[in-house]
Amino acid sequence: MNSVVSGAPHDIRGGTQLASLADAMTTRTDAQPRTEREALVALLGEAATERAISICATYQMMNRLLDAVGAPVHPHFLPIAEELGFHSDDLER
Amino acid sequence: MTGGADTPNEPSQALLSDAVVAPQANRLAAVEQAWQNLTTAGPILTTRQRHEIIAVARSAWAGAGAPNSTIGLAGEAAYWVASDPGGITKETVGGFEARGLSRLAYLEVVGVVARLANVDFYSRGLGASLPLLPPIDALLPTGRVNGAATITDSWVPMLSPALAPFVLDALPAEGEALRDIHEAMYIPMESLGDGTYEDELTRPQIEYVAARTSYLNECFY
Repeated sequence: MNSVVSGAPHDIRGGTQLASLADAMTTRTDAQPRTEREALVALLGEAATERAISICATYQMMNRLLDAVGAPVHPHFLPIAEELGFHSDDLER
Repeated sequence: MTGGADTPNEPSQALLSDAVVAPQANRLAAVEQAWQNLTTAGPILTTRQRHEIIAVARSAWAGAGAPNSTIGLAGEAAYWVASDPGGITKETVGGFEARGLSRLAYLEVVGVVARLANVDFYSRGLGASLPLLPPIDALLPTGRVNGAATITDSWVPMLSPALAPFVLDALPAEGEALRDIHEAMYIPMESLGDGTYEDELTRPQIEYVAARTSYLNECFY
């Protein structure tokens, strides 16, 4: 779980580069992630990079969808959210 | 191949044709289908309204400020879904309804912005130009709504407790369109529970990208 927060997983091949790509796509919403994409292509190849981009794009969709309809956070996930640094009171919809 | 600019492409240009990293064929087909669906009339909203929603969402991602009074209720909702969906509350949605945007119309706005996010973030990620809006057609909204949908555990009508990717099913065509792009871009529905699933990435790599993205978006579903 700490690796999700830090963006530096040690047990996932290309984890740091995958995190950097997700960070760039999520936080720079008006620019292409050129540097991060090139780094991932160099390490994992084009097919894996395209796959990572598709997953990140899909979660841009699903996160907006579920937040905007007020889908309740399942109680199962509350401890995980707190481990990530968010207080359960903040997750009340 | 040179990378596309962060601007819409030319009308005659095929989607993702200028991508630096080539899309997989099934995902290209899913994006083409999604874009065709997004840019025409939906169950409640007209083609023009859906085009306006797309323009507003793209402006929000480009850093535009809060909407002004001329943007319209659907546009206002689109801005917040694009830029700060976690900041939307049940009071926000109730306020839209009180001002004239029904909960089903709001749900259609949410579906359009969310699927647009998939199309646009994927395009930009690959280094391609964003799809250009086509001319506005004369099609009327279909009116297809599932009358059995009710408000269960969320803020909009649904057929069951909120469960992705079924949250749009009060608007059947929107729900089907969501699953079409979700399956092509994420994992086949029948493999969602298979922890050993892998393709170009391993399941841990897939879920790490998903978790990191959701963490940054402060989303916990």
